[in-house]
Parts: sequence; C-alpha cells; structure tokens
Amino acid sequence: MQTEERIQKFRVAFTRISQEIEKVIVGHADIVEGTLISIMAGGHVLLEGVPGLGKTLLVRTLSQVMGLPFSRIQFTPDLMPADILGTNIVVENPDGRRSFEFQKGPIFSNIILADEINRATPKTQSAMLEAMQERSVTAGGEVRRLEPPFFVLATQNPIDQEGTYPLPEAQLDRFFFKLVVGYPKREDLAEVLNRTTEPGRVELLQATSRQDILDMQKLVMEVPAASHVKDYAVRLVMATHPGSEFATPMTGQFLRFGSSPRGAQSLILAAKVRALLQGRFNVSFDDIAKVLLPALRHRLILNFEAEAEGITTDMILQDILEKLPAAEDAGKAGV
Amino acid sequence: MSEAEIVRRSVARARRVLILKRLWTGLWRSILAGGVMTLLWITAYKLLPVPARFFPMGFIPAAVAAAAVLISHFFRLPGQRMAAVFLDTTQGLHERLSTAVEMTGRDGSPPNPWAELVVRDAAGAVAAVKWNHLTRWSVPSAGWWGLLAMIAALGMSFVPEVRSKEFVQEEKNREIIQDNGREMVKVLKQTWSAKEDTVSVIPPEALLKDALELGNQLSRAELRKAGAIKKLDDLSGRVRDEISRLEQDPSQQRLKELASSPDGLAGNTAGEAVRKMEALRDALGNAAGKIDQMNAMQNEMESLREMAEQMKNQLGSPDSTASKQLQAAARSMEQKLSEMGLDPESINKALEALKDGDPEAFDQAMQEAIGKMEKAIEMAQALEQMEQELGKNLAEQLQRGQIAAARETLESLSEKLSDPNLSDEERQQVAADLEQAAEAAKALPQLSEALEQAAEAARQGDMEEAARQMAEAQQMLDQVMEAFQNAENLQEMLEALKRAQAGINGGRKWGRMNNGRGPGGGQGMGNGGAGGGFGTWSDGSDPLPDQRTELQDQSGMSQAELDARGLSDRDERFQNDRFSPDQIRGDLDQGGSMPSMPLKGIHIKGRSNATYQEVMSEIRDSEASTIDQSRVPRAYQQAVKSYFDQ
Repeated sequence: MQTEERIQKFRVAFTRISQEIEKVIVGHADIVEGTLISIMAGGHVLLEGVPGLGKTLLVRTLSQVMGLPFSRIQFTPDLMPADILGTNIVVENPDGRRSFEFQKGPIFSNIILADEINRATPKTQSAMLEAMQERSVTAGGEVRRLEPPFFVLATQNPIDQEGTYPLPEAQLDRFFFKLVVGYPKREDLAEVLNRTTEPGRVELLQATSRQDILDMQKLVMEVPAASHVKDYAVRLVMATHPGSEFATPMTGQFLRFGSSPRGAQSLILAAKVRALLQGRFNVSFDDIAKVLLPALRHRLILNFEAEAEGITTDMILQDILEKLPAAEDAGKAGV
Repeated sequence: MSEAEIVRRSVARARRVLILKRLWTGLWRSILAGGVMTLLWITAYKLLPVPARFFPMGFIPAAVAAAAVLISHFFRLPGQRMAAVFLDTTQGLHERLSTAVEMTGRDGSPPNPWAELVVRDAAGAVAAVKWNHLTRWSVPSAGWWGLLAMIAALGMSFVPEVRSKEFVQEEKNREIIQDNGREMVKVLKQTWSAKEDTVSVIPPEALLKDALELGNQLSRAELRKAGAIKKLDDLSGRVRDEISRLEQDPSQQRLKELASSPDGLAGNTAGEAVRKMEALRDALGNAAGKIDQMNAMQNEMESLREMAEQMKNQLGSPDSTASKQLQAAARSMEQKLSEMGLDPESINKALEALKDGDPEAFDQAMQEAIGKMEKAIEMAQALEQMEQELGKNLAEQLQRGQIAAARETLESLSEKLSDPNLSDEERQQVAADLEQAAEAAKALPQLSEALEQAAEAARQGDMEEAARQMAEAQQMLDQVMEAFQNAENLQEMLEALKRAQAGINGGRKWGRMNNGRGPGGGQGMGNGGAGGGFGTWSDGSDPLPDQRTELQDQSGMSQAELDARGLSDRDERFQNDRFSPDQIRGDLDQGGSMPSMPLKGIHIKGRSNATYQEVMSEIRDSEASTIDQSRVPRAYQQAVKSYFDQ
C-alpha cells in the first residue's frame, strides 16, 4: 500500500473513532483527541478530574469502538499487585495431581482502565511500572509478554482529595499524556442530560481492528520531523531544567526537577500524530507547541515556593512557550 | 518545473531577501552600537574629569563598534535551510519548506516516498507565499533604540560638564605650558639658526640641547606646572652659571662694559662700514678730514665765478688784465686741489675757457667744479661721522669695543702691508696705527702683545712677521667675538627660559607676554592702553583705544604691579606691621604642611598655597621687570640681579 493511501486510511480511521466516541461522550473534544493521539503514538494516558466527568465512560467507549479487549481495574487502598498482574494458583489436573498455574490478572488485555489509580497504595501502583514501560509482566520468576497494542488509560482524582496517594514520579513519567478533564460546558451538560435521562440506546460501531491500530502506530513513527523541529522539542524540554541554558526565570524559581527524555519523545510522537491529523506530512513547531502541556505537565516537579504561591506546571510551560523562540535559526539570521 | 525545483527556487529567493534583511538589521544594530557608545562616552565625558583633548578620541570606539557590528552582519550569511525556516515562520508554512529542504537529496530529488510527499506539499504551499510581504522594510526595534540613543547623546552634548575648579585650572595650566614650550622651542630654533648662518656661533651645545628637550617636554605637556617651573628654573640657573663663567674672563668683562656703551659692540654691519670708510678715504685722498679747507676752496670758487660774471665783457680777450687775474687764481686753485688729492679737471676746463676768451664756458666749468667740491665735502662729512661712530682707526675701534670693525681694519692694514708698492711713509703710518692699537687693547693682553709685535715688525720692515702677528691678532679677535656671542646667545636663551617660566607661572600664553610686557606690546601699566616701550610710555605702535576695532580678551592677563600689595585691604592706619611675615619655614610645596610662620612674635600654622619654585619665579620676574623699567639705578642693577639670581 502506498504511503499516501496509508495516511489517508489513518485519517479516516481516526475520524471514525472520534465520531463514534462523540456518540457517547459529549464535549471534551480535546480530551478525546488527546487520548486518541496517545493511543496512536502507543502511549498511556492519565486522565485527571473529579468523579463523574465521564472518564471511565470514555475509556470504555474507546475500547468498544477500537474493537480491543478491555479490562477495568478499580484501584482501592486494599488492592494488591497480584490483583492486577495475576498470581499462581493451585489447580488439580485431570489425573488428580496438583500443580501451580498462573492465573492472569486484568493487566493482560489491550486496553486497561486503571480507575482512580491514585487511591491504591504506592506498592500497588508500582505494580504497573513494568507493564507500562516494558509491555511485560514478571510473576513467579517468569516474564510474560503483553499482547500489543497495550494501553493503560488511568484516571485519578485530584491529589488533594481525601484517601489518595500521589503517584510516584517514575510512574507519572511513564504516562504519555496527562489530560485534565474539566467540567462540561452548559450546552454539553444539557446534552448529557438528554442522552442519559431519557429512553434510547446508542449503538456503537467498531471503527478499527487491532491490526489497524498497529498499522496506524507504525505510520506515525514514519512521519518526518526536521532537525530544527526536533531541536525545538529538545530546547523546550531543556527549558524545564533549572539552570540549563534555555531555562526561563520561572523555571529557575519554581521547578525542582524538569522533564525526563521521555518528555521529548512524547512531544515528537504526539506532534507527528497531530501533523497527520492536520493534513501535513511533516511536523511543525505548532504541533510541538500544541502538545506541550499534556506531554510535559506531569513530568515537572514543583518546588515548595511554587506550591506556596499556587504556581502550576501549566503556568510554567506556558511561560516557556512564550519565551522560547521556535525558529532559533531565523533569529541567528538577523531577522 | 519539478516540485523540487520550485522549492529550491523559492528558497533561493527567500535567501536573497533574508541576506538583505540581515544587512538592513545590521545597519540599525550598528547605529544602536554606535549610539550607545557615543551616549556612554558623552555621559562619561560630562561626568568624569576627562581632558578635553581626549574628547574626539572617544568617538573612535563608537565608530569602531558600529563598523564591527555592521561588518559582522556580512559574515555567517544565511544558508538554504535558514532561508527555508525564515520563509516557513514568516509565511506560516508550518515547516513544510524547511523539512522539504532537509529531506531533499543533494541532487535535489526526494530520496523516499515520504520525502516526495513532503516536497510536493511544500511546493503546493509555496504558491501561497506573499513575496511582497517579505520585502517590506521596517525599522527594527534595535533601530529605534539606536535612534533614541543618538538623540539622547545629542541632548547630553548640551549638558554642561561637571568639572572641578582644580581640573579646569589644571587644563588651563597644561594649555599654557604647551604653548610656552612650543613657542620657546620655536624661538630657540629661530635664534640659533639665524646665528649659525651669520657668525657660526652657537651656545654650549649641551645647554641648547637641554633647552630644546625641555621645550619639547613642555609642548607635549609632560610636566605639570610646578615641575615645569622647577625645570625651567634649574636650566636658567645653569645658563646663568655659564654666563657668569664667561663673564669672569676679564676680556669679556671689558667687552661687556663696552657693549653697554652707546656705540655698542661690533655689529654684523661693522665690516661693511669699515669697507665704506676705506672707499671714502680712497676717494677723498688727502682731503679726508679737511672739511674746513674744502669749504674755503668752495667759497673761493664761488668768488671767482662772481668776479667772472662782473667782468664778463672784459673776458673776451685772454690777454686782458681781468682774464689774466682770473687765470692766475684758477691755476692756484688747481694746485691746491691737486695737493689735496681732489680731481682738478673742472678747474682745468675753466682755465682753458679763459684762454679761449669764452666766459660762458668758464662759468659752466666753475659750476661743475663747485658741484664736485660740494660732493667731496659731503663725503668728508660722512667719513668724519663714520669715524666718530666706528672709530677712525684700529686703536679707536678697540677702545670702543668695535670688535668686528677692528677686525676689518686689521685685515685692511694687513693687506696694505702686503702691498709691494707701499712707501716707507705709509709703512711707518701702519706701524704707528698698530702701536696705538696695542696701547688701546691693554685690557686684552695677548692681543695687545700681538699688535705690538706686529707694529715692531712693520717698523723694521719685517712684513712676514708683521702679517703673522696681525693674523694672530685677528684670530684672537675672532675668539673674543665668539665668546661674546656665546654669552650673548646664552643671554637670549636665558631670556626665553625666563619668559616661558614667567608665562607658566603667571598663567599667560607666550604671545600674551611679548617679552615680559603686557598685551598689546606695552608694559600694560597704567590704564591698560599703553603700547610698546617701557614703563607707562607707549612707543606709538599700538592703536589708540578709540581706534581699536576688535575686543581684546584680557582675562589671562596678570599685572603683578597692579595687584593689591600687602596682606590686607585695610587702610594703612589700621594695619599692624606685626602681621607682615619676615620668615617662612617648613615644607613649601603647594598643599604641603607649613609647620610655622613667625610673624614678628606671632606664629601662624597652616598650609602653604604656593610652591617654592612659583614664588621664586615670581620674584625673579618681578626683579627683571623692575630692572627693565630702570627703577634700579644703573650702578646697582648688576648687584640686584646677582642677589636674586644666586
């Protein structure tokens, strides 16, 4: 198949998925798009928002539309790692002998909904680390590969709520995007009421297959990004490092740690997906800028001063975006 | 045209625009750099005590900075990729062009399907580029800041400088020192070069070298006021010592005395005058010095002419009594003229006219003879006057100290002695002249002895010995003259040094002093309108006050004689002489401590406000001025001078 046809197919598939999701999810177009971008780039998503905003519904709908197996794990304080990964249990063979057999946990699926992930203890949360990064699970001394595609779509309540445990930095860094789900607008809320409090059932159609998703992920990796565009992503990430040559005054004042290299990877991959969605065959500065907040906001660690003054990572990233010139070369050219 | 070619051409076009824009920006940045540097320099100049002569130099870094900034924009000119980025960012092409340029192979063809897609996309986007937007020229922010800096610099130039009085005074002093040094060197060079051409006499080389070096130091303002005065004072002291050394020579002492006489010492024109005198003597012959006799003869000639006029009718015949009487008188007159060495030709003509019985021709010849006699009388009078001025002979010239004239006369006598046709009488006369001269030159024993031996040799007819002795005497006269010239030159050098010293000390430029006198060529005493000359008298060369056409700046004038005297402006009745200092002790450097100042019983402690050199220089200046104005009797002048100069 020609590249152009593959691109066309990608756009069509993406549009169809979006349209199907819109049948269930009212509003939150940017959240839907962000989630889909993450999936196309092969990354995991952390959805943050107060309960009742449709986070779980979005993930469940997504699995339906994409035609992928779906597992939901409700994280609670008493949830144990084995409840997620699986465990060896004693089973009796037909010949009457007993042996251990690995009972797969809910992690063995293509789409994982980690609901209210920050309600579990850090020990349990960290059970997800290997699965998210290595796409494999080690249990009973045996490494078991997870079938691709593998996405973790986690939801969490704002961390200042009662009974929550903040996710460790290492785990946060493994999320491709962190999307903040806000309250719906007035008309969106009215539409939600219409759809949920009146008779009628929405029929969802499967828009893609497992193989389609894998093809789309492969296509995304092929999208070219010019060196100066990659350099922009690099400079943006470096600008989050206090004391670096690109750091802004705000970075120096309010950040304790900046983004890891995963942040730069996320920026470029997400920008590639966005470029395809925008009808281009190359990544632009604008693509990078547009995905900066969801890609990096959860990777920055604020210092005490920032927390005391109510400074958020979004503010710092906006500041960097304003102050760091995209086209450094044009500046060198004297214009 | 292929899509890759479209992209390539568009980028090339964008590159040209970008280069022009870069240079345009560079121009404004250079204005900013130059403007800021200029502003900083002018501000620094206004606030810091930077000497005025450095002010123009401060603009050099500004110009260099501006040029450097402009030139830097000619380097690292944008390449293809940069031009593509420029086009992408200014035209909103979302990095299509720059990605296409990066992905295009060296041969300009897309190497893979993705590159092909990107190039095609970029080529399509190029069609939407608004090239006219690219070529809009606007002043960049750097340009506005640059203009602002230039305006601020211009405004700052009108702000008066913040300068301390000490600094202003120091600058003024420096200017005055430079001027005096420059002029002193000029004067020294002019004086010595003139002397070299004429008498080949220069002052002691070391002193001249030092004086010129000091003058150059001053003209470069390498010395400050106190240092300059001290050095000038030191050098003046050395020159004075040298003059004193020369003056200790008795011959010089004698010559100096002679030089101060109204006749003056031999000038450079003395030789000429002597030669003129010789010529007059030759022309007059024995008639030289016989003016009375010549007057008498002229009267006789006029009487003869009158008689001939009265007896005109009787002169038709040469044998008439009247004619014979006149012929006899004419013969007698011819004889007298011949005896006096005058030309009797006109009288002979008159005699012939009488013999021819032609009274008209006689009258004409007599008129001619009277005219010649008048001329001879005038020549004799001129000779007499010159003899009075220069001395009629060697003895008199030596007596009067007319060395150059004496040298010429000696040479003339030497030539006369070497003449083979010289009569004994003339030889004896030369010997007598030499003897008299030896007597007159007693003050110069060696010269006197040489002349005496020459006279003796001449008397005995030993011409060779006489010539040798006379040559020796001439050489001695040359040495004397040279030494005197040296002293005179040193005196001139001393004057120049003193003038520079006085100028620096008094804060006056060289041109304002006019050799110790006030502006306008006069001493400046009195109402300030005095011209040249001494004291309050004008030599008439200056215009009268109402004839002056331009204003005169007299701010730099210092008229010490008009300054208030004493320590107080109080009326004398209220002044106490106990407050007049009679001793000063302690460190007298300016600003230095002055431990005590006894004032006839009262002790004042404080700090001196004048350096020793300045005070001494002022005193010497005042001393010279006082002597020049003849306030000191002639007999005491040398004593007063020695007192202050030691």
